[in-house]
This record gives sequence, structure tokens and C-alpha cells, in this order.
Amino acid sequence: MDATILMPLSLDEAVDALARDPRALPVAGGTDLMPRVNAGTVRPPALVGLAKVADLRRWGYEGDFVMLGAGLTWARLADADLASLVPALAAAANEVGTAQVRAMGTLGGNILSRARAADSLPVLAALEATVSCRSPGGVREVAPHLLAPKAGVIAEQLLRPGELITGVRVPLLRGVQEFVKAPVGGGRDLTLALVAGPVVGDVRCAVGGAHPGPVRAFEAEQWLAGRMDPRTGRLSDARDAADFGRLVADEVRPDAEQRAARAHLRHVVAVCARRAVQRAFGG
Amino acid sequence: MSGPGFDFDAAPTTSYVLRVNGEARLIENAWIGENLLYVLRERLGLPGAKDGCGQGVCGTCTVHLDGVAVSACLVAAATLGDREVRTIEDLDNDPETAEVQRALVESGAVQCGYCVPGVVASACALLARESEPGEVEIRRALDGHPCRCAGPHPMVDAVRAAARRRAPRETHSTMMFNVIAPPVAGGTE
Repeated sequence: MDATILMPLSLDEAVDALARDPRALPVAGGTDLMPRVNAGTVRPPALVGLAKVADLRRWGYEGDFVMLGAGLTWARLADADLASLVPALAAAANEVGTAQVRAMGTLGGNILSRARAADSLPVLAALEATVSCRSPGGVREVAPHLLAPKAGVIAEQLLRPGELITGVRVPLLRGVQEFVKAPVGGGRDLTLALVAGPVVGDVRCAVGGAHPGPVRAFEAEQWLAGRMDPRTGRLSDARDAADFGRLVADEVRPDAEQRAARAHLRHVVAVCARRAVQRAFGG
Repeated sequence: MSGPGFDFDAAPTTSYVLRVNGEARLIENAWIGENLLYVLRERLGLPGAKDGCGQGVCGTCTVHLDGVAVSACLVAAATLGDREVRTIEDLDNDPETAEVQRALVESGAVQCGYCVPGVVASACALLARESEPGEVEIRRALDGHPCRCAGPHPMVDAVRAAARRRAPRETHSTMMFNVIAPPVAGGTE
């Protein structure tokens, strides 16, 4: 009989364990898996516990990038040192669940979260970070902003069976990073991440919670970059923030079953985008 | 909600050792999906942590894991390894806990009482980490305890009062220490 619980001590052992039994579910914090197990909607045939894999909880520099281990908790990502490197991720971490969930929930688990509430994904899409997916054959880097966010479950697009998310490669950027989160009813939230480098005239904006995956608003980003004064980094007009909000809402086209809910979500997207720009550029 | 509500014979099981309140406890032939709360209450006879929502929202099941407050209902007990669990039954032996409990009573934060063991666990974890937490820190540490009887403010007052009562003991020696050796910036990862 196969082992029902495996506690690997290294990344290699963890990846081997998942490759041997692709039905086994990896467990780090448990904050995404256990609500479904408790509610009886998931019956894990086997578990691979990641508590002893210290490599998953490391972070370090790699040239102009920072490598964040998938086992870093939300509480750790919100600490001052990591917050100064990736402010938008720390801002997202600060708004996740409760203190008890932030203490256990991990970055890797959130990326794979079945719910649309994967708060890390819009941040990673706006930063153009890559996710490291490891199997016995090697490491595959997947960029969340290049997936098909409207086409279905994002975890399935990101990860192949038997693979384990080992970490995230985030570029170290100058400029401002904003994260806005708004409840939209039914326990769902809408999230928006904005990264703007006034010096290079670069704007990136991604919306979570409107579709299965994070949606980038490429056209709106370009429009806003064009409104920036290249010397001062300020916006040309005080109304630009609100206009940007409408453009993002038009481009993202939030998806909901009812027309009224769609209109509401559209409005929330526009407000979140406007607030993010106002915080980033002042005014 | 916490236990396996299906065919027990077909469910995958395992046996493991759990470190609870300073002791190594053997859990035999348990379903692998059992959460820590179920194991504590039903297998180890520790009913202090309460079963509320089973979804990590209500905070009544809060226990310490390596000194940090976590929701026991969200922890897969079989995958804990050698991490140390402390429940309210053991926290109750610390004099600091008694101070927190007294402050909660005096502030009017205890009404129906169902959420109180969890609130005490969170407050003790906060005060062990930070002896004089600010209001924002206290509110963030207690944001997983939506008390519908007394509301959030009395429990915030209580933690502040407990911290104040505890602080004077250390002030003098800490001040002296700072004069001799100022704190170093940075630190180890």
C-alpha cells in the first residue's frame, strides 16, 4: 500500500514524492486546502507535508531579481525587509484573511488557490514576475501575466500534474507599487495591483477577482504612460485617474452571472484603478 | 464538520506523533484529512479550543503553533511534523495568561465566552512577541476574532491594559541595557 502521508526533507524528495503519486496533495499552511476538506468537498487520497522543506521558506537576490520561496507566509511577506523589496506583495499580504491565516497561509498555496481570491496573482502579473514550477525533469518558469485569465482555472494553466511551485522570481523595480482590495459581496473581493515607474514612463496594472485569472489592462496602461510628464513623473491632468479607471473597467470587462452584478463589478474596478493612480501619483 | 463524515473503512489513515503542550502524543490510525482542532478535541481530550466555523473565519479554535497564533481547524494535523502545539489548557498555567484573562473580564470583553479561549491565545502570542504593542498592532493581531457580543473594542482595551500592567517590570533594566548596547540595525535571516 502507498504511504498516505509523506514528509519530505528536501525539494528533491518533495518533487519525487509528487511525481510518484500525482494524486497526492501538497500541504504547506493548509489555509486553502483545509476549508474544503472540513466542508467535505475534498477527500485527499494522500498528502505531502512540506513543513520540513526549509528551502521553500528561503529568499535571496539573483541579479536584478528577488527569489521568494513558495513557503514564505503572508506574515513573513509583510515584514519590513521584504516589504521594502516588493511593496505591492506586502500590501496584499497585509489584507489577507485574519492574523491566524496570515501566520500559516503561504505564497505558493495562494497562487494555486482554487478561489478567485488568489490575491498574489494580480501583484505578480503587474510585476511581471515568474513562478518556478519544479518536477523531477527540471524547473519550468511560468509568467502569470502571459496566461489566459478568462479561459478557466488558473492553477491548471500554471501547473502540470506532479509539479511543485518552489518559488517566485520578482524583478526589483524602482517606482511606486500600489495594491487595492474591495469586497464585492458573496465573500468575494476584487483586487488591483498598479506598478508605475515615473522615470521610465512605464505603467502596469492587473485586476484579480474579475475573471478566473489576473487580467492586465495593456491599453489603459499605455494610455496612462502617455499622460505622464517624462521629466516630473506627474500626470498631465487631475482627471486622468478617473479616466484611467474607466479605461481599465472597459478593458477588463468583469465577469458575473447577472447583468446587475457585472455593472457593479465594472464600477468597482474603475474605482479601484482610480484610487491606485491617485495614491501612486498624488491628487 | 470537523471529523470525517463518510465511509471510515475506505478513508486513508496514518499514525503519527504530535507534540502538544510539551508532550509527545501518539495519534493512531487517524484519517489523514483530520484537522488539528478535531485531533485536539476528540482524540486528545483538550476541548479548550472551540469548534466554530471550520473555515478559519471565527477564530474560536486559535492555538499556538511554535508560539504563533493559528486557526487549528485549518491545520492538517498529520503534516505538522515536529512543530510544537500549545493549547489554552497549557497557556492557562502561565501567570501572563492570568493577567490577560483578568484584563478581559475587567474591560467587559467577556459575555457569552465562546470566543474567549481563542482571544486569550491570540493576545498571549502578541504580548510574547511584542511587550508594548500599539493600537494598530493589537487590532491586527485580534482581527481574526469577530466577537458579536462585546464587539472588538473591549478586547483591544484589555490587551492594552494587560501590556501596561506587565511593562513596568522590565522598563528599568531595558533602559540600562540600551545605554550600554544600542540595538543593531538589520539582523539575521
